[in-house]
Amino acid sequence: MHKSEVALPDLPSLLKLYRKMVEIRKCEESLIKAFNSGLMYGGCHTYIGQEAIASGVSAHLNDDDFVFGTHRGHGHALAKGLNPFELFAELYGRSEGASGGRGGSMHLFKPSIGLMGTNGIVGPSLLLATGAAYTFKMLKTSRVAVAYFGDGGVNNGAFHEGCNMAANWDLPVVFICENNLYATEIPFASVTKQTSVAKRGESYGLHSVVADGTNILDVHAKAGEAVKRAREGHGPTLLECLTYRHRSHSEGMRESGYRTKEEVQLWKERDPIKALAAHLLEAGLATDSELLALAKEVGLLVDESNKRALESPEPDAATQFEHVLAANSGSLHA
Amino acid sequence: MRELSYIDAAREALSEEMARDPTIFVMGEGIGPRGGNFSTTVGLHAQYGSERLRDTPISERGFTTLCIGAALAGARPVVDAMFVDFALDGISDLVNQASKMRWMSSGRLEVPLVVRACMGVFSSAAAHHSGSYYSFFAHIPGFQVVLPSSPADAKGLLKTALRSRDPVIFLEHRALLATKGPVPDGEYLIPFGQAAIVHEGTDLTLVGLSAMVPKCLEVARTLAAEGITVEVIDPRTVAPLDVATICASVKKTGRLLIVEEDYASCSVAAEIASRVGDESFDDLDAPIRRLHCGFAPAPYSPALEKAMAISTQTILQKTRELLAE
Amino acid sequence: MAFQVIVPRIGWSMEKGVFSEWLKHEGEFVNQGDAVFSIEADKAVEEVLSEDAGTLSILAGVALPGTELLVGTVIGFLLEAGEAPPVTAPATPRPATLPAQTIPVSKQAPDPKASQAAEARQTGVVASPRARRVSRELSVDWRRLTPTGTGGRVRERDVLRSATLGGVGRNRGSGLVSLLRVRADATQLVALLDRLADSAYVSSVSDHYEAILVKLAARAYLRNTSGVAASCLAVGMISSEGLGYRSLRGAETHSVSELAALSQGPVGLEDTLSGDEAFTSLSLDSLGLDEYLPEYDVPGGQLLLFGRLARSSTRGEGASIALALSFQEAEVSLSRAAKFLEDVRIAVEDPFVFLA
Repeated sequence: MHKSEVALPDLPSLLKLYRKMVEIRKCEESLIKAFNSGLMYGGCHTYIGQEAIASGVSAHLNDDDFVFGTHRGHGHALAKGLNPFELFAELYGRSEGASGGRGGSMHLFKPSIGLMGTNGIVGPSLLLATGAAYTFKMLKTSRVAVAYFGDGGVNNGAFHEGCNMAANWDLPVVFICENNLYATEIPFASVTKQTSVAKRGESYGLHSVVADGTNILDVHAKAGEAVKRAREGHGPTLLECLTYRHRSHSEGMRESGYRTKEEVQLWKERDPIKALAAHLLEAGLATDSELLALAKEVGLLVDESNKRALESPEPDAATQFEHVLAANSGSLHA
Repeated sequence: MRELSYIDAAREALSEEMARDPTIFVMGEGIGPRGGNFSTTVGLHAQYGSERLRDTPISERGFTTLCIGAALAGARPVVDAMFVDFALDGISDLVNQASKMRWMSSGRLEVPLVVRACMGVFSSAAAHHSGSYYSFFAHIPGFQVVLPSSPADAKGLLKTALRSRDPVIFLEHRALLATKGPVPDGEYLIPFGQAAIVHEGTDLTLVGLSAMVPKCLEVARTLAAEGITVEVIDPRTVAPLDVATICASVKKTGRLLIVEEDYASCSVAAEIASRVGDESFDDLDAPIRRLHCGFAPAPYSPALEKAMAISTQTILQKTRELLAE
Repeated sequence: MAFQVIVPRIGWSMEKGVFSEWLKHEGEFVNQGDAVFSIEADKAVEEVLSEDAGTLSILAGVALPGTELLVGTVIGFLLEAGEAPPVTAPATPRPATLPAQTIPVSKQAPDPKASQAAEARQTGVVASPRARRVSRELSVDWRRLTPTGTGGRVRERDVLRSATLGGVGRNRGSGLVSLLRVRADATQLVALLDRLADSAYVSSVSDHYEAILVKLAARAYLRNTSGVAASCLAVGMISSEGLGYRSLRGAETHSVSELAALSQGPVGLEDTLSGDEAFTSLSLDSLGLDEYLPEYDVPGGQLLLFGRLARSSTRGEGASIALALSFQEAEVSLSRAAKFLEDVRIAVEDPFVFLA
């Protein structure tokens, strides 16, 4: 068993993690308002409450490491380095969006930074990442592939098949389970007997670890070890992050009674951003006003991106039929 | 020219391409040292090793999607699904991920993946080992669907598939695997979307797919002895589909019979009929006719299978009927 | 800073809702998560929870019970202590609706083909699309033909037979027509064609083939003092392209290549027989005809026909071609016509000499 060799982050790194979480939060808050204003269509699954996970994981990744996100993927994308403008523009269906307006929330792509798509289908992220890891290993690189999925994805066959093959072939892949207790509105415990995802992982001979998904220091340390293991050829890790989404499954959906107000309130108090702020203040690493100023600065940047995205041109309708096959696509451009 | 069997010709293509391109690897059940249920990879494991001839658990959905991910990372995977019936387990991610990836990423990603599998009603394989299913894939933007009908085509088309930049569904009819024919040595590639006129004629156009092509040829030879010349066309790929060659033939003949061992509704033959109807209406001297297998799952008993499959005799009879129309 | 209170989108596709009631009153403090108002969307009344906190300032005259409001409409503000509401409400955001699709309607004259088909449906006679097309090309009225197709459908062959037999279509004129036939050895002709096929300088062997026949007919004509007038002679031929017609006029002054170049593009039979150097093509191959003598309308009424070139299956071995001459004995005597046809045969059998 490998022991954690990842040191606690230094102050600049901690502030960077804080900043990333705030950026994700501010973006999501702006998107909620945009959704309510009728500026967006379709699904908009926010990451509020789960920011510590993607921020903590991506801190260990390089641009050529791959990340396969989920339908709740704005955080996965921003943490991997997508800039807020590309996120907003995409959700407004504009040509300068991450996917040129083709994809919206669940199809955010930027391969040049290893963002291999958020995904509208639950399950395949595990297998796609396992496959990318297969290539990374076969071509003798030290690159790593990361798959995000929720507790809902765990009950899809892809989880079983992916865990089995990744473990069996010692592939450089990291499985990040964001266990937020509900698959849409179905409680995890109501559809499965074994509610420990890590225990399930172990049954495949897969190195499996549990992290407090609201504590970025815990996520950061354990993800760091997982990425290091993968990069150094020691095989895959399943990291089960216990977390909670503060908002409804998708914007526009009401709380229909599947969870209590008290439960939501309890988890809101375990807000990952507040938790890191408390740590920084307690450890005397930052002052209240410094953190406020940082949040304000990030907020201004996010607002500016949002405003600019609304002015981005709509895509040319004629481009809809480009890139179906290589024949109407030209050579690859990252 | 030397003669090879269909399956040997396809394996030669695979081996040549694996030697040329180190990013090609094959995944499937028993395709390693065992060499594949249908001898698709015999001898290759000894040459290229376990990483490039990867025996898998029975997780068709899993390793199909794994291969999609591997392709995104720069490899050129081959899924050897054995029977196309098994490949259906992976259809969700083939459709949702593989076929759409180039488009979704606005041309920044591509999935050079080959899914090869055997298909067809043959030797009492019954309901779970006799499917064809190519029309599913041909319906979806982003796929190329290949149906080789001869050893030379098996080689030339598989080599093209292994250099293609888009996902390819490559289906080999089990009735053809042992058939022999001349196969060119070395570099031999057949472009997709180019139908072959396998027999020239002026009285009627017969379009056959996969294992129906040799049967159509037999019909053409029988009729030639009676002074009736039938043009036999093998589209070779149903996506892309070369309708122009079929229309040019219909311009000569005025009569079109399409033969495919698949269900009639929403079939490739229905698509061909529709497009020829659109483009060559004024050349038609009789209605376009289609010949399909019956609308029921494939059976076990040879007596039942006979009722399901399309015989040369049936094609001959349908051809005569259409000539008289 | 004042926060807007807006009509939110509830679900994925809501465009508008009917306002029910305010659940907070003017001046009341609203916490994040409090229900501020209710609205009816998709037949259900939903309480709208606040995203922000502040003192409620209701925009006068906008959100009244029973009013239909678009998603995104600003209906009030949440203010900080002591803050005044913005003077003018920001414009309601444009909902991201899909533009209504407009389908252009083309107003064209009725298609004559369509009206012919409609007429056919009325009279109960049907023809294949191909038969209709060939009928148009040959000016045949297919509705008067005897159908041989399944279910009484007129087929292409019915149209062609009628055109051959006469009685429908073009008026043949008054005179009686005689016919002479002979078969020529085409071994040399085939050798010549094979040479052309192998040549990099020849793009279309079929065009050259037709030009060669015209040229040979012209040479035969010059050798002959039969009285068959060049301007009165049409040449017909069955080739791989179908059936072609050509006037002999002017053939002698052009080279084979020039004649070949002139033969591009099918035109109507009528245009051809009016004397231009042009061809019309019909797909006769399917009928397996060696010869076909159609109706024609040339003053003097002579037609020289080259039948299908019957090649042996082995290259370089024997081949033959049928020659036929139809003529009106009132115009040309039998002996002169026979002499002319014989000269054509000699020319065809030795094309290298006669084209030299």
